[in-house]
Amino acid sequence: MTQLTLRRRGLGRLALGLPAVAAGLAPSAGRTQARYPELWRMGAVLNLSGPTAAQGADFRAGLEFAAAQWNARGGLGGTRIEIIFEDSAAQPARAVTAAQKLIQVDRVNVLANVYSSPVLAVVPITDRARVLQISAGATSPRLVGISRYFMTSVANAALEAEVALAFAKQAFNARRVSIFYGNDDFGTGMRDAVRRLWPAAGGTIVEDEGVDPTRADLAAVSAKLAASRPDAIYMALSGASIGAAVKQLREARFTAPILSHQGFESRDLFSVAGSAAENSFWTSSSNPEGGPQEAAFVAAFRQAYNRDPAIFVRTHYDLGMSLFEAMARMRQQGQDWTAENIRAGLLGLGTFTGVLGPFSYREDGTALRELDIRTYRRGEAAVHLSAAEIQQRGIFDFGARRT
Amino acid sequence: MEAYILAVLAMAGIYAMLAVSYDLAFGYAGLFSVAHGAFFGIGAYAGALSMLNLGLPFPLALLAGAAAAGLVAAAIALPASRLEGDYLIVGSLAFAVICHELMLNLTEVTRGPMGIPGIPPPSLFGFDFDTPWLQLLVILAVLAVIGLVAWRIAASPYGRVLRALKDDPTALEAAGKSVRRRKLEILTVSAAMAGAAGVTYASYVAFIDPESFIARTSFVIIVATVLGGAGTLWGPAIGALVIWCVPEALRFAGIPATLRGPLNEIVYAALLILIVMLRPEGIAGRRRLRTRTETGTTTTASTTTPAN
Repeated sequence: MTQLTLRRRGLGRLALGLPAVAAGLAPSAGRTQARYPELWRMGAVLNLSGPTAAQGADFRAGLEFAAAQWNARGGLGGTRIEIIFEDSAAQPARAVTAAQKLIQVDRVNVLANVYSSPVLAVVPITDRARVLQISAGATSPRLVGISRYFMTSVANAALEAEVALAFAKQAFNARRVSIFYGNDDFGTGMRDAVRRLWPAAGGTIVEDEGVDPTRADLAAVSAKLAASRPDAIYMALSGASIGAAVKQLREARFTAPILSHQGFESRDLFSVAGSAAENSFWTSSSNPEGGPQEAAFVAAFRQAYNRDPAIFVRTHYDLGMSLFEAMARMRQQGQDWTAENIRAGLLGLGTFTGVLGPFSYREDGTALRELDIRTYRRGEAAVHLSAAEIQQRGIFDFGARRT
Repeated sequence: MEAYILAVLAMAGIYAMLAVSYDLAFGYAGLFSVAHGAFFGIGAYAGALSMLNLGLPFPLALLAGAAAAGLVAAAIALPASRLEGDYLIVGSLAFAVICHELMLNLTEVTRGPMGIPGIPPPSLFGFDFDTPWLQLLVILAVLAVIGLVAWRIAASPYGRVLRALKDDPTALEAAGKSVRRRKLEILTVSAAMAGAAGVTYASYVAFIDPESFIARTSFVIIVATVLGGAGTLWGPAIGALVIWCVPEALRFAGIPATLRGPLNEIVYAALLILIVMLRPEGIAGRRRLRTRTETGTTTTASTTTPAN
């Protein structure tokens, strides 16, 4: 891991940095990169401080680990990978200056970013500089087709909601659904998707309630949602509150199924909710052939970081691995690593199998991932219906979306 | 490199507007409010919505944002002008929290947590100020106007009244001046300036969401003001420059990414502590010398002639 990427420049640069910023006299740290340089740099604007810094550490570890593995096997056909991380604290204003620094000073032409708000703030900058912005954490429906220079490797929120609702309709004959969402861009994006999709499928939205996703005291909202007597509740929460929400819903005597998304599956949730998490069903990236590959990834990550890879480590690992795979192929084909070519390279990957399963990039900047329905039983998470079974039973046709 | 430096200077310029406007209320009138970030947000939303929905040009949007923030401040200041000291801090914090909740939940107006993207750059008579240099020019122009207005207020007899409001409101009341009215007026003017800064920010970043206007934003403004020197106007502008440039300079220090984020917060705190300990007047504050009177008691005096 120590080979990887973190720049070790002298503290003297701190002294240079301030006058440079003030006077604009500092020399550029990089120039236009040669066709296949010895060292290829990409940037990452992550939330390394602030209330979501713990997630930011996972994002960073996933990207770092992917780069480290490629570097360990010789890099991109001989070119080592360096990732320059900058902190945005998940604030759009900070993301803007961080992105400008990475593009103007470090001369990166690929920039990883997370969360919809910083991504949206940086889109005009990356568009102007013709830099490819990639993400494994921005899922807002507003990002669909927003720019030629933006691509995400995670399923759009709307797709996850669509699969979960189709499952609820067929498996439980659900008609009345309530929504329990976090009042952030992810939660409201999910809420809007459910509000749009469920009535279109002939169902009724009985109630929807938004909560501060950092709060754990959700008893009043849980009781209100339980009292609406829905056939199922779609839970569009993420982060620390989700375990408390599940537990308090069950304490409010809500016994019907809880539907949710990929972020539902976490050790923290199961430790907080315990058996209350039973009769919950969530979508998760399908990984039918990923057993040994995933086991090897987990073992290697554990050895490097002395901890298990959380879901956000995996999403960013897949983002990095798919990017580097596309670039390695481009080099074999003699293509330059311009932002436009890298975008085409990602699209040209077809179906890429990562540790979270196969996925493919799409022209509109989103990714298609086949999804399993998972559940919690006997103290652990397990596949309830695989993507193949979902397809066979006519619940959802993933093939039709692969365009 | 050039665009990066311009971006840092642009953000520092916007925060300089905020710090200068806050200095009028805090540095001159002694009103310690933590709602300035909320007024910044009100202006940003009003300006962005007026540009996107009403098609107002930037100068009119600037006025609309300033007017919206000023009107809300006036409405809030009516009851809040009865408060002082700790009570004003708590009251203004409550207002800031309410504002944030409204920005989150008035989704039909603000689009909630999804934010408002696609805000156009400043334009005048069909000419778009859409390059980094031109955008910085606009920001400096707005900063100059805000600075000029603030300076005129501070240097006028009204500015002396504000200082008296800070130093001895009872004496001011005894002199026949309405303390409540002065508080209401200066909070309104200060908020209107923050609103104008909000419109400039929205037009520069092209995207706003409620998380950009949380209580932390107010604290950054307060730190910039204290750091630069409250009650000097140009000191807080320097404070804003320091607040934005120091974390950017840290990006060049070769510090591992795991440490750089938390280090930013530590640097803010360390700067504030150092300033409070070593130079409580702030970077640009008037130096005070300890002098011993004939009776042996210690008093302080400014090295420069007091403004009024």
